[in-house]
Amino acid sequence: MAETRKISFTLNGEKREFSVLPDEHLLHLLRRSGCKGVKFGCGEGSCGTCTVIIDGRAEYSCILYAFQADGRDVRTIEGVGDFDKPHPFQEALVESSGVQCGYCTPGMVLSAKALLDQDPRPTEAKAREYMDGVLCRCTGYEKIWTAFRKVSGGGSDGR
Amino acid sequence: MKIIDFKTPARLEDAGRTLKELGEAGLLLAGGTSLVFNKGKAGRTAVDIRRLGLSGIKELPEAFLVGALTPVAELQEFRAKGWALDRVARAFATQQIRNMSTFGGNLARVFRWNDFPVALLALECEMTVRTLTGQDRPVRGSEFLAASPRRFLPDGDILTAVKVGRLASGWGFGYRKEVRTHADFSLATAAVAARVVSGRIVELRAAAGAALPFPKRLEKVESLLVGKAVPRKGLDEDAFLAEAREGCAGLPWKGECGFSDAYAAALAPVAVRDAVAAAVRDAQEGNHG
Ligand SMILES: Cc1cc2nc3c(=O)[nH]c(=O)nc-3n(C[C@H](O)[C@H](O)[C@H](O)COP(=O)(O)OP(=O)(O)OC[C@H]3O[C@@H](n4cnc5c(N)ncnc54)[C@H](O)[C@@H]3O)c2cc1C
Repeated sequence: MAETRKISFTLNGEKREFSVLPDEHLLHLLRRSGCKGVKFGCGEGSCGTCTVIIDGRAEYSCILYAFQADGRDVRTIEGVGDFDKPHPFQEALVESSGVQCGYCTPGMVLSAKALLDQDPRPTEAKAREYMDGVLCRCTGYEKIWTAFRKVSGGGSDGR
Repeated sequence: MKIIDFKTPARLEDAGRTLKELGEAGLLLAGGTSLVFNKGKAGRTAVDIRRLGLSGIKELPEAFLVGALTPVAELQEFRAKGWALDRVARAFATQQIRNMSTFGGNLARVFRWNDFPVALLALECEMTVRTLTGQDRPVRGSEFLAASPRRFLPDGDILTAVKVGRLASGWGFGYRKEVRTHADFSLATAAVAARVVSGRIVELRAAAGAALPFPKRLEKVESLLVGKAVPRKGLDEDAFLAEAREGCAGLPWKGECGFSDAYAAALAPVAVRDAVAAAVRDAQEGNHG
């Protein structure tokens, strides 16, 4: 039986220490640490519902080992917004009916946040490139794009 | 595969020594995204080299020096005259995987679908391997990529950087992969670098992958196309398809994901044709040099 090891990283703005097993994925560590907004989907880096932001970049927590997060800055949906103070994209999703079952929503919001933090007014082409890592099986994406356009200012490349 | 322990060496030499000591029980870990494809049950100790500073892109006069630990997303975002890998990076999986995967990880273990090996055969490249004895050993890209890269990476040796060819004036680059859905694994991949002078292809390097066990230069396609006139208006892509078909004939095309070998053999020339057309257009638009 493998032994647990200590690692530390900043989780939603707070520096924390964790005991991890070497083969534990970040997804499971985050969920057992209370971040239930991180969803398990495919478990193989394809569906995107486990997306978190690490050092400003969207990554799949289901295939990232927890120890790979050591010393880094991790943000989950719990650290982005809530009912009282939603992120503008969360608000836009509600206004545009861009949420149905909601399972992909945390990953979708975090993908959008990672992009918008880097480039608040991305072109549609760039947004499609950066938002391509989360699957939604309910909305058909159109309403999610309507929400995204609201927060990214529309754009001038034909969107 | 099960990770039973992990090490985070502070120096490259320590990483090499640890990997040598661990032998089969060790696993060099870069982005770690390939581990989902490792079906073996044996326990391995991961040696995480992500923090050893082997990341970044440097411009040299005729090439780019890319650190092996450079994330694919950095290749996607980098812009410079003669740089072509942003187009390859954009076709690579999804943004999350582009953020996690490293350039070196994509080259050090070649899955059939891997994007960069095919592109690098067309652009030309040279690998640098840090040996256990601390030497930087250069390896020609065409040799490194011709079969399993493990031949050049015994336990403890680490790929540290890749010199990637810079497209000079008159050159263009085209990259195509045939997929069933966005972000799917490629069924057939083609990359082409072409130099066009006065409406004629004067040099061409074509490579294909995914439908072959290892990526391969397509010498027959190259010899059929060099010297060919390419009218500035109305590029006749059907003419390229005929040559691509002829040039690809006789190679051991292999269908994946339930597709037949005959289907792969028919699909590969389409990818090659489209990559040639894109490279010629890129050259005619004068985008490099
Ligand atoms: C869902 C999914 C979709 C994908 N789609 C694509 C795709 O469309 N196209 C594509 O090309 N790839 C794709 N990939 C990624 C690809 O298959 C590899 O997983 C990735 O390129 C490996 O990079 P890494 O940094 O994660 O390497 P790792 O997984 O850490 O390592 C890969 C292998 O190379 C060795 N290695 C790594 N770095 C070095 C080094 N510097 N020196 C010596 N050995 C080294 C490791 O020991 C390991 O054996 C996909 C992956 C996933 C999970």
